[in-house]
Amino acid sequence: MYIPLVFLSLIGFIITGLFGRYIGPKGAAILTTSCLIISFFLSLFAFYEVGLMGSPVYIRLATWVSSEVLLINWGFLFDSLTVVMCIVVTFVSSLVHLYSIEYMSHDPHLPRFMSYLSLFTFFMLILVTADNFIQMFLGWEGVGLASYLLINFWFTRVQANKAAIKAMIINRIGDFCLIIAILTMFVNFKSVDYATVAALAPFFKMQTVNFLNMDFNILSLICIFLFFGAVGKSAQLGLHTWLPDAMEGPTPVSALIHAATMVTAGVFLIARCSFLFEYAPNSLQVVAVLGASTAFFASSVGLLQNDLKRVIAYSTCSQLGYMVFSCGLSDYAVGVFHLANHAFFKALLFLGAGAIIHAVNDEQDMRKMGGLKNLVPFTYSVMTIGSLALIGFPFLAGFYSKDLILELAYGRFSSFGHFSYYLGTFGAFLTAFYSTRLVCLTFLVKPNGYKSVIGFAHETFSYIFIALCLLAIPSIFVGFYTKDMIVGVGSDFFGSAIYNNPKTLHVFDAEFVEFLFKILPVTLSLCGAGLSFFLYNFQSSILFYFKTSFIGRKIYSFLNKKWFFDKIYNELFGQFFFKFGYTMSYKAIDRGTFEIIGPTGLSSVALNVAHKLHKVQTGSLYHYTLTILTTVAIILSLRQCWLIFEYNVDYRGLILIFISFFFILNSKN
Amino acid sequence: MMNQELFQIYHLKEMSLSAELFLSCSILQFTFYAVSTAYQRRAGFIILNQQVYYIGSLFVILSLFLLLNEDLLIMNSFNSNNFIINDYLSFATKLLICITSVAFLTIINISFRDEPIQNNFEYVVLITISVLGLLLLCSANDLITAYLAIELHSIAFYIMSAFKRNSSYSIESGLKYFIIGALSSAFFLFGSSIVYGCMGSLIFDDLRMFFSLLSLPTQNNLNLGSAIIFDPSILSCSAYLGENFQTNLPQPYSTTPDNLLDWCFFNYEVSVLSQSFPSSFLQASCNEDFLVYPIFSYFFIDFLTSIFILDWIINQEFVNGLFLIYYDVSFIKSFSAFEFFPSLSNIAKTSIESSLSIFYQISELYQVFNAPILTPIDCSMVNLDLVSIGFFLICVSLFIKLSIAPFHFWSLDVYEGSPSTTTFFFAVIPKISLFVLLMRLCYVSFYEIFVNDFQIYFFALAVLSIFVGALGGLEQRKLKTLLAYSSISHTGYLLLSFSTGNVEGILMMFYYLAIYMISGLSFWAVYLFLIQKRDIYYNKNNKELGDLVLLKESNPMLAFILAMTLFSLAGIPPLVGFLIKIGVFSVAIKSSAYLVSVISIVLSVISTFYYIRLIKILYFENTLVGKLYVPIRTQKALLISVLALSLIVLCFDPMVIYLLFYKAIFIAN
Amino acid sequence: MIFLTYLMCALLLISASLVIISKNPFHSVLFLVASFLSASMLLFLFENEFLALFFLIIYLGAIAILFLFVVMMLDIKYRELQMSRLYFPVGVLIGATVLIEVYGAFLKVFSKNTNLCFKEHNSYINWYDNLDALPDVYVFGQIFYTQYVLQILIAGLILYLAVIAVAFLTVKTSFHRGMVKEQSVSRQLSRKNVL
Repeated sequence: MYIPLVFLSLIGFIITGLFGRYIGPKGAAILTTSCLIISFFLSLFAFYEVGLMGSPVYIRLATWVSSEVLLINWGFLFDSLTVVMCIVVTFVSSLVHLYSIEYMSHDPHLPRFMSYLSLFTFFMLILVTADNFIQMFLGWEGVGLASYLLINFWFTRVQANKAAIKAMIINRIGDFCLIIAILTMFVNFKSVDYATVAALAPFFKMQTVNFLNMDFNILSLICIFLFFGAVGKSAQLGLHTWLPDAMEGPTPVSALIHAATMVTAGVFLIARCSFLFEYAPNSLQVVAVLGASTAFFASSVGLLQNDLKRVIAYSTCSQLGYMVFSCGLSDYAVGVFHLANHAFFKALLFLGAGAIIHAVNDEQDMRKMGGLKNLVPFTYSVMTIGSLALIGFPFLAGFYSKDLILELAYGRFSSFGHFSYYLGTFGAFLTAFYSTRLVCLTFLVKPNGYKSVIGFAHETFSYIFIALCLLAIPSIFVGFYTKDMIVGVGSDFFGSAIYNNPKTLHVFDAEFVEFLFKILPVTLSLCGAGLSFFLYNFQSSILFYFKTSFIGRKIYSFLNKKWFFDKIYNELFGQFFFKFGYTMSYKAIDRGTFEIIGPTGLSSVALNVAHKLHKVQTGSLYHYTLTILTTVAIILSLRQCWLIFEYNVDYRGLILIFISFFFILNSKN
Repeated sequence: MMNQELFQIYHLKEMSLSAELFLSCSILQFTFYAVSTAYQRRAGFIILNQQVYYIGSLFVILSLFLLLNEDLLIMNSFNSNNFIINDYLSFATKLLICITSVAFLTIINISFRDEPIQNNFEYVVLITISVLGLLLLCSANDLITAYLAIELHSIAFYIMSAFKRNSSYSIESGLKYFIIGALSSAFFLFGSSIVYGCMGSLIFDDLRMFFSLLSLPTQNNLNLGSAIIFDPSILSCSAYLGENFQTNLPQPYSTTPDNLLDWCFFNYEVSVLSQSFPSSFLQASCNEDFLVYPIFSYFFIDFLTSIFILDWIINQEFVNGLFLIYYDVSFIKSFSAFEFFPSLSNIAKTSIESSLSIFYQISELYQVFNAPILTPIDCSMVNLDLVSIGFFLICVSLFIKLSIAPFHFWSLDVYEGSPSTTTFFFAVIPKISLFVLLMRLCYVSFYEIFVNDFQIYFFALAVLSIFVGALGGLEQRKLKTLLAYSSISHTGYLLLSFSTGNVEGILMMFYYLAIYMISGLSFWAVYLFLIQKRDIYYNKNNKELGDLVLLKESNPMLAFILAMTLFSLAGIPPLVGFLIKIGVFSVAIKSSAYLVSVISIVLSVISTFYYIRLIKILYFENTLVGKLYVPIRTQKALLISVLALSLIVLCFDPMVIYLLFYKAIFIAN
Repeated sequence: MIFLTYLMCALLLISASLVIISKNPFHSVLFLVASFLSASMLLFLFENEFLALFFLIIYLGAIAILFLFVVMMLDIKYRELQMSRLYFPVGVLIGATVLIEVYGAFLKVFSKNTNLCFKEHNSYINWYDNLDALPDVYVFGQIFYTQYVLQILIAGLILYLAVIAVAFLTVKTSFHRGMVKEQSVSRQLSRKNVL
């Protein structure tokens, strides 16, 4: 039951990828979707066995690499963390498959799309079910590849190309750090299994590694690099610029990859490596700081975006920040819980946005929509549900996880905890603001678009409808029903999957935080929602005056341009490396020095020498005999000199000098 | 010689060169026949064109039979006063020369129909005489014989290269060859006169014995020369002394002994001496082998003085051995052989010091005689400087003849200007006998001088030849000059493997020579076969690169054969040229000549360019039509196909020729 | 005696170098004659009369005369061409190097004149030579035709070859029409492909 869970989507990918032309779009759709749905049911079964019954499953299939010390197996590890992720992944993926049958029905490349989706699902499942770092890294790279393929699905579009390359490159930076972490781990632990490393981690607490004459604590080093890998994948601050640009792909792609699964791989990694992080408190602090900053930053940028999908993307980024900083404060379980919840309602939001875009004839700018409330009522209701879940409306899914995160953050009672709390709370305020802004601008305000466009917006009963339905339900209920199981006090749902150092337990402290701090996030978000509702619906003129004032313009451009991160990256790094690569390494070194030492130089030297040799043949006997006599004289005198200086001179140096002299004379003619 | 009386009846057999004898007589007869036939005005100047070649090849084949039927064991004892040596090496090389000459004569056998106007029976005479000279050179054991044989075949070569009297190219090349050849003869004679002046004998065997006795390794790294060490008791020794002195009175010589050892050891009395002592003496006293060292001094002792010294020395207390002194009264050159024998029981480290101290004592006695006092720093008591110069000059002369760079300039002009058949003969056949002479010179007689002083220069010259051969051919358009450059580079490889100084080097060198001759034969055969079907008046015989164009159209078999030959020359597997090049390089590397090997490998790669360019012209040129050629006769086609096939077959089974020389080398050494 | 030896050696060296240096080819040949003469005188001084006379007859009487005839017939002008000013100094340098090498080696090997050491002692006298000596020619005959027979035969072959070579290179009978540049009117008037 477990192996087909992982490999069914691979089968779907292979068959659809290779024979898509023959089975046609319908066949592709049926095949892949059914594979995914079967996988989902299998993962439900796995959840029952592993999560509910508490018996993790370890499967070792075969040996991949076995070379002296290095032993890497094809192994699968199903424990609680894994099955939670599996359920999330398969559920969202199957619904996305279903959705995209309808959404991409007009696209002639539907089989390819479905195969890429299946491929992505397969790699994601490999990532979460791996039992050693290398296999996880295989999945890691695989999802990067799949995201490239999917973002670049409409590959004739230049913006899509650019976005895909940007995603790939920024992911690569993260991957590089992850590789360094894995290698350092291998060098010191001599193993890359989770089990072995987890068992050995406590013994390496005090060990240092010496690099460039500096000593680093080894666990801190590994954890920092692991975290940077997660930063790349989960679009934390610093390596986040690819996420909004990745909206160039089709909407189902955004739903699958950038809402539910790929971006959560980073959080999954941090949670999985809790046994390492817990012994490196410094890195946890870094994690917390960065996560909190991301949460705040992304929500501030999302305030003033105009593209529908970009807003949702920034909200994803911000929620990822929440998850990351909660892990950074040693609350891994809560982070994973928020991950699961967030997957549902974010996928719902994305798919709903897709439905909207489909309805207004592929118009993505929010400012040109409006008044769709009565035209597409089901979509409107679904979007509202999603937004309310996102802002943490009491008793919906998001409330349980998000508020718990903030409570626990405050309950840590450390500077980092408080820092994260304040940033998170303010971020919640901003999140509420822009979520409501989105709903208002899209549905509630007076229509701002073309009549011929908006007039024809309509609903259909189709796969989209089913998918949205099926996503709306968990968005509402999953938080409440699973809260006790996953993050309840004293629950051992995550038995050995997540390791918590007893020093960092602060559940009970958080329970007794002051009421003000407990109620602040909810209050602020409700205020924010109300404020935005009020402003956008009724008093948009205030906003207009504010926007066009001097300060407003500055703030607007600052936030709209994503705090100028893109500009800095492009000019400082992009241009520099581009120029360097061309002029320096290509022209001067590759085509210059290496060519001259290599083929071009050698052939020109050879030809020059050949020409000179040809000229030496003068045809005159005098010259010939002169050469003969000169050589005799030279050799005799050399021999004499050798006899005199025999033990003082090393003749090899002289030979080298002679030969190099010869080459210097002959080079570059 | 003392044995002369016994064999006076068999004076003719003393020649021991039945093959050469037969060849010379037959040449004389043939000249008479040809002159009388071809110059008769009455009969209209009969053209003897084809039969002369047949007659010539008949002669060579018959002498080959004679060669094969000689019994080497008997032959070696009749060696004409040590001027001719008839061991297995000379047999093998003579075999090779004869076979290749027969092949050569078959190839250049052109009927009157194809190459009119030339009634040149003298060509065959010249060829056979040069073959005779080469055969004599192979078995020369003496510098005079070698010189005469060199002159014999060189003069034939001069005429052969000036053969076309109405072409100024030909005459010019003949003249150049003649002058350079005269210069090389001058060097040869100068060198051999210096050697004679220093050594007193020109026979290789004598020189070998002298040098080998001179530099036996001693314990303290001193080359004292040698000393015969005995340890008799005093009484019996004086008796022996008296006896030996009387028996050692010299006999009058009417002629100078031509054996250097006769100078030193005076009719093998030494061996008599060592056998005349009862073995109990030796066994009682010696624990190790006793060493035989003759020492040569520069001072003269006469009879009385020697007795005086002897008495004095016997009375020394640190000596418990005796000196056996004898001298040669009748020598002409003011040499004396002076041997003294430290005791055997001190044969450990101190024996040399004791003998040295004794020697110092003796030399102190001779202060009045202004005798030179030798210090340990002058390793050898015989100063080898002048002999080295003589040896080197002889080697220079041979290098000039072999066209080793930087003495190679003549060969390019001569090869280009001579008629094609002559160049064929030059390029292929004389090298082997010159290398045999070089081998006898360097390895048999002057080995110590060669190894100690001149090996580096030989390596340098070899690398220089490879360099010139590789790089000079890159720019050549004329085929003959291209072949000249390639033969220079091959001679460089031969010299490279020759100058390694060990047995495998020589073995590889001979093997290389054999393969080189085969591939040379094959290439030149193709070259000569391509007689263009044209007007006889425009018969320009010097082919350029363009003359071979698209041979695969007009004669695909010839093109294939030429391609195989060129691949073999370039050293490309699976042809045998690759094996020999690998052999040469491995031998060079085994004797630790790393820099030299690396340089020559790189240069060998460069030289493959012009071979492959030829193949490209044969097969892949872009012109429309090739050239039309006269068809070849069956016998020649058979011969050339055998040659080409042997090149391929030998790669799979190279031991055939290898074994031929294996025995030769070991017996010669 | 020794003075004469040195004189002849000096003469030999001077005339040999003048052979190369002088510009007029006649003078070169004459100096060649002078060098042959001094070489033969040297041989006289080394008690080798036969070889000395041999030199005179063969070298002077045949070879030098040949050279003289050739030079006279060929009408060689003054050697004006001096390819480069460097030839002479460089040549002298190289010659001096080789000379110094060989001279140094000679010095080391024959370091003591053994004849001079033993003035006090009984100098070495080869009594047997004084009693029973053969003239040069007899010696040559006795050795050449017994021990060095092979060399004589080879030398004879060389001479034979020389005769053939000369005859081949120079004789132009009317047979060698193809080798000699002559006109053939019939060939000029006829068509190309018809001989």
